[in-house]
Amino acid sequence: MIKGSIAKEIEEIFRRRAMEKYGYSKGAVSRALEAAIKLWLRYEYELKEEEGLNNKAFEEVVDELEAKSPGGHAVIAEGKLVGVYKSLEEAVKTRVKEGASHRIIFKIGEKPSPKVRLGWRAKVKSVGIT
Amino acid sequence: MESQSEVCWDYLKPDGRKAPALGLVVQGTLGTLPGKGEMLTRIDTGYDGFLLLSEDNYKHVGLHLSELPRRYWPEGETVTGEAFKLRRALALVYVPKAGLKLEGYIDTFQGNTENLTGLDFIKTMKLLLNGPSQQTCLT
Repeated sequence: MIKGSIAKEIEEIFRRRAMEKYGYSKGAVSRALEAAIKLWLRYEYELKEEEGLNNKAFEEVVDELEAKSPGGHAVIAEGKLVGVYKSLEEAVKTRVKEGASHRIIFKIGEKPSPKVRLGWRAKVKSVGIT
Repeated sequence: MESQSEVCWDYLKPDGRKAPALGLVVQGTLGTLPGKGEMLTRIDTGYDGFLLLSEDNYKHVGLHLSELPRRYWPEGETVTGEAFKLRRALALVYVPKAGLKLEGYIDTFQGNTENLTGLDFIKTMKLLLNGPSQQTCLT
């Protein structure tokens, strides 16, 4: 069972909408809460151990790489910097340890846009009754 | 009439309505998508990224092994305001019929079942969307 507290005004809106949607019954709020949690889980990705180590290593080396090797392609695996390569093709070809579940490759100094517009076509599997 | 340097693809008909598409091959760490030939992929100018792959395709080709740091994962937003955190990987994509090799960001998100080429993918291309003949042509 999940217990927690949220702002009163959000709770009121949530309860009202849940009952409008699922009826004025005892289970309405639970059903709406489950649908809301499923939506949140779609947004938040679980950080697995290997991925966490690689991201930590990235944060440790990124400033130095940006100063020393701008434009290169860096590979991070098993929680450490594997190398910097002239091309993506070379970087992708670096050996992947058997059973590896994650690796980071990025172009040093390149900052991708933080927002992407998805348009009308993007569709997702249902998150349940909403 | 097609010129010698023009290559064309028939429109896709994924859900009853024909749509512009082009054929590509994604090079991932674990292989190529598709394994043989090319993958006809819908062009969606409403998506302003490079290439969106279904979660299954993203994993199948090994893009989790060339992923960007989480700091660079973007937020995707639909026209209806729904927001998703996208996973993003750096990869090579080929358009074999045109002899093109492109480097770009490949996105996916939890629950995604679509493959789409976006504005970033076609930004350097001269494309003709030939409605009457239901073909996309690259010159």
